[in-house]
Amino acid sequence: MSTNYPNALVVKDLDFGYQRGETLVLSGLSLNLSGGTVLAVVGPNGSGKSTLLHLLSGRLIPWKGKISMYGRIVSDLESKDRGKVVGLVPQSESIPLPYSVPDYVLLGRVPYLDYLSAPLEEDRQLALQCLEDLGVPLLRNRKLDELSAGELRMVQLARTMIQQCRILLLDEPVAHLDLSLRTRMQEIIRLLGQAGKTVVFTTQDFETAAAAADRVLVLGRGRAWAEGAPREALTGENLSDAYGKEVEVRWVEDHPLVSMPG
Amino acid sequence: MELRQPPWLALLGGSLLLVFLASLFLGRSPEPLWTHFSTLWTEDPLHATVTEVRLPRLIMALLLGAALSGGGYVLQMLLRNPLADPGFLGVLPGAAFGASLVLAFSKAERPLLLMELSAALFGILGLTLSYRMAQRLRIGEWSLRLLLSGIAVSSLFLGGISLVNFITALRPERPVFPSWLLGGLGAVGWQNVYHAGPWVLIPLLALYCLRHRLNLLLLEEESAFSLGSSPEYERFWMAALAVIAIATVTAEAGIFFWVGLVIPLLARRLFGAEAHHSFLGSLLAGALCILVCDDLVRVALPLAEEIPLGMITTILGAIAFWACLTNWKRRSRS
Repeated sequence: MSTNYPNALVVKDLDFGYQRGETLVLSGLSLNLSGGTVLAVVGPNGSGKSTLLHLLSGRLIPWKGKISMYGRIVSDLESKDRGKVVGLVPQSESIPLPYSVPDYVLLGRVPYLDYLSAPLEEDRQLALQCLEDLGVPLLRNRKLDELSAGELRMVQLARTMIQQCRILLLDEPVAHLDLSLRTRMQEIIRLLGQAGKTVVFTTQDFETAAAAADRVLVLGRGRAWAEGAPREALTGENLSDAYGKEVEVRWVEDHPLVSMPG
Repeated sequence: MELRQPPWLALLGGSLLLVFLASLFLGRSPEPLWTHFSTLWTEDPLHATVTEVRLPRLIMALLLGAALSGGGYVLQMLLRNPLADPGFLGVLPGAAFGASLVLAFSKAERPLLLMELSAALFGILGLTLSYRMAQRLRIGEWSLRLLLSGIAVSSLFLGGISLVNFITALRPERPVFPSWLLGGLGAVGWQNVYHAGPWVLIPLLALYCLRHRLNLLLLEEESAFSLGSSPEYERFWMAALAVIAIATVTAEAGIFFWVGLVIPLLARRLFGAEAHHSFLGSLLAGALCILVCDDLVRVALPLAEEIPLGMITTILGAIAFWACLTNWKRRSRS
């Protein structure tokens, strides 16, 4: 598929802030990912990780610089095409009504439907198949308001997967997940990359970044401090710069052990 | 319990039709209760009662019920708050205020079109005020803030209506006009139906066609956006359609609290949270509910004068809401 597509996601000299006159949330950010790459974005709270995802999704418009996906400028995409190119799983989502899980997952098919039409039976089959692929087939009989945090994550992921877009943005996919769900989520993210999807996810968990990602971007205090393979990016020096405090990193085989002395 | 299948919707539609037909022959004059069917094709003076008085009133009851429950359903989805009621969001009081303003100060006898237009404008203003104020409140979560600011805005307009009533009452040449605060269908004739019909049916039909988008707009902003929607734009237009339908019936019949809150809650219980079936269910159930309540008002209570329909819906609505909420708690506890 698009596994070897070069320049699948290109970010060039990006500047963004929420209010004019205040300090920039992100400045001078550049990235270049080929198709099928999984990128983890790490950094302290408020370092602009989620902001970066929302810029990539097209909802926020950069002040300067440009973002292109598979050769197309994101802000120029028609709204419907946007839904076919890039999908976002937000950090948390509250749905105020007790939707059934399949009905909720089916919303992922909206970019493929005419403005006035309902999802078809084949869309429904796709939704059920996706729940099965994620290893949670039994959720098909449940309601959203009965789900645990981990189950809700899986269901959100299913919704975004049946969007069948080439770029997936996951905001804190492993937050609040227990050890086994976290391991499962890491595996799913890796598999998405192997299937040719370009994945960008944010996390506070360095272990997950190292386990699931091909590349890691270290953000902090308004700028990128490093971008590269996990071992190159997750160093004490880079993290100390990003957090503005001394951080120690020790690698034990493929696992980074990160601590903040004092 | 969830009745998702279309047969149940057909059953609801069928009962609506039956009740409608039965209601045509139900009334208190000349004798209480049943008028004989033969009146329809004889020269009986009752013929006129049925076709000129009851028929427009019943049609208006259908429009009223559908507009309130359909509009309420849509607003709940757009505002992401299942406890939103047009009555407590500033929509109904705003619309009634707009209509009363025109009636009080216009030169024409019954400027129906102008009343509807003013009702729609003030209805939209009411909703906008509630929404903007809720965004600025600094307490509680979104649904609570919306509720609080809606109550404040509603109260503002209710006060405004009383003020307009008071000022008009001081002028001898103006007729005493309908009590907007407790709506009723007693004064409705064909003219009202002709005027209100398109402004209710066209928005509701458009919203029915758009019902799948409602599911999308229930998601949070960033999710709806990433699925290819322009949430702010779509929310605004769909809310405007809902408010036009609601404001039009308010201009004709006055304020009815609770209907736009309780009926959508009930419809979702019966037909599922997803809008595919439950929106139509909500429209039909709302129409049926108002029709039955109006029958109650017309026939069942042995009083010398007809009591306002709004009184019945307010009392029953409050009880039903209370029942829904207690039942809700029990469900989420188990």
